[in-house]
Amino acid sequence: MSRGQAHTLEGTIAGLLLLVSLLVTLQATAVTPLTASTSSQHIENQMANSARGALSAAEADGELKSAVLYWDEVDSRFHNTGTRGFYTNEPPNNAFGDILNTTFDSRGIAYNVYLNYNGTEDREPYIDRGEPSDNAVSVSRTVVLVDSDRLRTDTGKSGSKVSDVPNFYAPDRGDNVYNVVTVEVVVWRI
Amino acid sequence: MRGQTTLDFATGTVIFLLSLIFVFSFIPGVLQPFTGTQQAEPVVANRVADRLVEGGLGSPDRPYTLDKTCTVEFFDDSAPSDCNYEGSDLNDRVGLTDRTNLNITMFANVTGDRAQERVCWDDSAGVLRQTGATGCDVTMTIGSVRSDASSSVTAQRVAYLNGTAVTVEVETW
Repeated sequence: MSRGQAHTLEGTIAGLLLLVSLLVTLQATAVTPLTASTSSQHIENQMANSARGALSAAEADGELKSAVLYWDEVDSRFHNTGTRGFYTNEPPNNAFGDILNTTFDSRGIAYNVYLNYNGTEDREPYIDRGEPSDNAVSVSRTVVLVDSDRLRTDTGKSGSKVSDVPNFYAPDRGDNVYNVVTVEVVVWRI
Repeated sequence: MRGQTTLDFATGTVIFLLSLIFVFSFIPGVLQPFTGTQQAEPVVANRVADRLVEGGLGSPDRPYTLDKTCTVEFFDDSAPSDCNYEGSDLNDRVGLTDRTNLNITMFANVTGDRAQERVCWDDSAGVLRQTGATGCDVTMTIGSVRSDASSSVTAQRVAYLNGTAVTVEVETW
């Protein structure tokens, strides 16, 4: 190459320099209109607050505890879940399931519900609608189970005492307190 | 070979100017989410919604649980003395200046299907009914009606009222 191309080269380099600085700026800003996302901070806030409200609404009536105790002691899984042991398409047939259903399903929002409890690192899937997206938000609420709490039958009536059922998913971890279950709801837009 | 210098200069300048124009036209788009007057609106809608469900319509010690009387009176455009809101009009009660337009609507599933519908309050039976049903006393909607042309910001909260889960939707513009 001789001097004939010097100016082209200079122009290209100057242009590249500008583009690189633009790239650095793009990386430095967290969210831009071009960020690949199915969501936005505003929508994530709405979903998190809706989930928080749904959990509170379920807890206000004691329905959250009933949902945690909605266990089929004969088949050692949640009621009417088939061999998987957790709910997938249909939410559980209890008040907590109804609340989630009317709050989220009709708005095109998917949700998973996990139960975390003392005694293991794993979490028990309760409702599993698939893999959450990158913009999922998680909200949880704690339920304390005591030994005298009774499991719910599939129609919602009281069944056996939780401390008398050996195949309940959470182990007995104390004297009067049976275990502490954290209900985690993960919601994301589909 | 020096005969190409003019052409070379033209190409170099064009490449440089093109990238300069591209960069300058790109920068406003990068900054757009952080500027502009619309930015305040999500905050306003969220704050109104939070204030209502976490205390205004109930009590702050039981957030997301709404008080029956206070909620019905709120949507009936009055402010009883024992509720956690006061003021002469809606904007006063939610703590906004008169320049912000807002509309607050309550949704609940009362028909038994899967969707939530607009609801009203039946005083005599003490239940929520679908808007337009017989027995409606207070329509659970308050505020002005938005014209289709304007853009708005909506905040949604789920709360517990009278035995069911309700969705409170606050729309500001």
